[in-house]
Amino acid sequence: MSSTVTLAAVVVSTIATILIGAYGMRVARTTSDFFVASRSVRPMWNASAISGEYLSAASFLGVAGLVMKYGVDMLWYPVGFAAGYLVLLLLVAAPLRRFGAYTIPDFAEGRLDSLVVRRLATTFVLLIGWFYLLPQLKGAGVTLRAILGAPYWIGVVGVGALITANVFLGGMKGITFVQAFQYWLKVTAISLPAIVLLLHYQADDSPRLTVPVPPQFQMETVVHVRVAARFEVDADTPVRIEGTLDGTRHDPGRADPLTLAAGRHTVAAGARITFPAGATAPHAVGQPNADGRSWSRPFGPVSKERSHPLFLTYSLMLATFLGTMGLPHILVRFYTNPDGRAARQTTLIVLVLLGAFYVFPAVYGALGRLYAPDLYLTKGTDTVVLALPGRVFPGLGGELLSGLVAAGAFAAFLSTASGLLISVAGALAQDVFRGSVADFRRGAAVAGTVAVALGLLVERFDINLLVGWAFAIAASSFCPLLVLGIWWRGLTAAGAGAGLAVGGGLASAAILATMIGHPGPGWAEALLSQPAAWSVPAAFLTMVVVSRLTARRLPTEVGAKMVAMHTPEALGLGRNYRD
Amino acid sequence: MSSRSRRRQASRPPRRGPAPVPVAEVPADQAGAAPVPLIDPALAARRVAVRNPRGRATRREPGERALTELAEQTEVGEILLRSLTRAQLMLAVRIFAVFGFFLLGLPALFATHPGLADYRIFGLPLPWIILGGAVYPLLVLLGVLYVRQAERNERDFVEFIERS
Repeated sequence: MSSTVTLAAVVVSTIATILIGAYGMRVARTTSDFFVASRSVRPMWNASAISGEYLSAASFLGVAGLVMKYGVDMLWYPVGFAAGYLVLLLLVAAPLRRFGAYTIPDFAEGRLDSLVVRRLATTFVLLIGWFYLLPQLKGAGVTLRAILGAPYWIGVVGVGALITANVFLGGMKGITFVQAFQYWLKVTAISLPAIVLLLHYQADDSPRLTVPVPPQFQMETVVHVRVAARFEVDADTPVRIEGTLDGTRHDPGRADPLTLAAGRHTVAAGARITFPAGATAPHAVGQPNADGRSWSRPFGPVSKERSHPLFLTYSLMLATFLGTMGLPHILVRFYTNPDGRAARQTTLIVLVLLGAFYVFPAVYGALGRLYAPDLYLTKGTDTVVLALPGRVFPGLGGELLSGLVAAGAFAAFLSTASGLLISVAGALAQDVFRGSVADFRRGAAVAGTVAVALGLLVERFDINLLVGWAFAIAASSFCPLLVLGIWWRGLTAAGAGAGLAVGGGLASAAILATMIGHPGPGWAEALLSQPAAWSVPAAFLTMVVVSRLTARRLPTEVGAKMVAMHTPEALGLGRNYRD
Repeated sequence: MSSRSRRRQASRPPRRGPAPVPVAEVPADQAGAAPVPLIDPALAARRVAVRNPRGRATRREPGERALTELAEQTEVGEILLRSLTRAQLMLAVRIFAVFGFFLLGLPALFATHPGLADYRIFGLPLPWIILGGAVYPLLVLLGVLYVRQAERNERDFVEFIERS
């Protein structure tokens, strides 16, 4: 895969990003331009930009990898990522735009007249923003390693520096164009190769994927081992090997024929193992291969690895449905709509654009089982989207398609990471510094540096796991704040603050406990690793109960704020609550 | 501002010139006969009058009273606003119920009826068809229904305020 075509595609995609950003920079002038692009972005552009920003490494690479490993259950991730926008449309989009705040902390302060709640909201913007930045940078590190063989840190530092510079120079006007361009690049990059792959699958007599056999090599396959791996074979398998296997060196050039005995083996980095056609694919230790029947059914392989899969599914659904509205980099985009109606139109277009994209990752996951089963051995299922075109089509055609998906993957980290960086930088500029353009740039520099430093530490965590956690924290903190703030007059600053602290705090604590403590299988593990099912209700309940107890300290002008949020612009009753 | 005046124009009844008296199409075999008026001319004239019922007078103060009630959050204004927010929230809840019924029902359905995985559409198992594709048009459809009704609620609200 380390072909010049792929490298060229990545470079071109990156340069296009920088050029479009630079074009936007010449347009961007005032502070308001930098923060929300002067609220002059049309719904189609804005929707493309939102979708471009939203489709991250988790969507572009992670979903396909998870589907390849665990099958149909993992499709709840993209369904939840899209359905979150329907919930956002129903409950938040238009009123929030009419309220006229730039960010969630602005909303918190404007709605509740409380600097304490504002600071608490800022803390969660930083927490969610950085949490979501880490998997993007991890994706960059893994992708650069997969396509160039570069060490992990190169991708993290390189992409981190690139987006920091772009945000530093262009602000958001530039980013709006960049993000819109990125959506169309990503949807092309995922759909075109997928369609070609499907045509190939049909021409290949459509081998059945649902038969009860584990994944097998369709043809003789040479596996290049880039990172040392421990793997397991289920039956004796004849192979040829160059490199070090189980501590024994096999000379390059001779390609010794030998039999891999059933059981565990260790292979050193740089080895090449040749499997014959029809051999069952080995799998990484701890990740047994599911047979096609179980893989293709709901509650398949997941049920074997995790306890309480039904609970996990529901908790994940809740986190993604309710967490989308609380992602700081997404909400800020809604302020760039000229009015509440445009905010609704934008959300509707986003639903269409996301649906068009999310049909495709599953194709790679399913066909990867068939045409790239060596990724089970190397724990490389996250790179199946990048690997598949080259495996199926050797030669120039495959290289061109590989280049296209690599460019799309790059677009995924660049756009999502840029959007997150803007939000984190904005929060820092407004609440830690003084809010000028220079402060926004200082915020960008600080936010980028912290993200890169942390990004270097998270190599061992799965991309979608980290993303799912960011959603869970957002659903447990900002979702109740927004929904109750918009629809319930009775919300008080004390109630909102307590709810943010309890919901967001509990979710964060549960996730930290999972990251550090590795709880054993059982209810504890299920409840801690997917906390949304209990932390979201806890947050709502706390907000309502504490607000009732402090009902005498209602914020000022609640009535006027409700009028501003809910009456159509045609009546001219709106008021900007930012000032 | 411009959207405000545009909205006004849209809510006004379409203005036509002095209404000509509608005339029935004359079948070819009756050609030569005098055109037969469909409506009695006197009635038609009255209809023109009904089309502009003291319009000018009401438009001079377009909903000043209700608008003030809203802007100053008087008790009446609050009741008016509550009627809008209640309508919008109930709409959201109704759409949410449909959405929840389908999506939240699916995992339980799959868990209790594993046989569903044996149904195939276009060669693909049912769960893959639903989660891999069919869900998205459903989301868009619900979104479209919501936006239409929500905007209708708001239009009605604006018209009501401007009339009273």
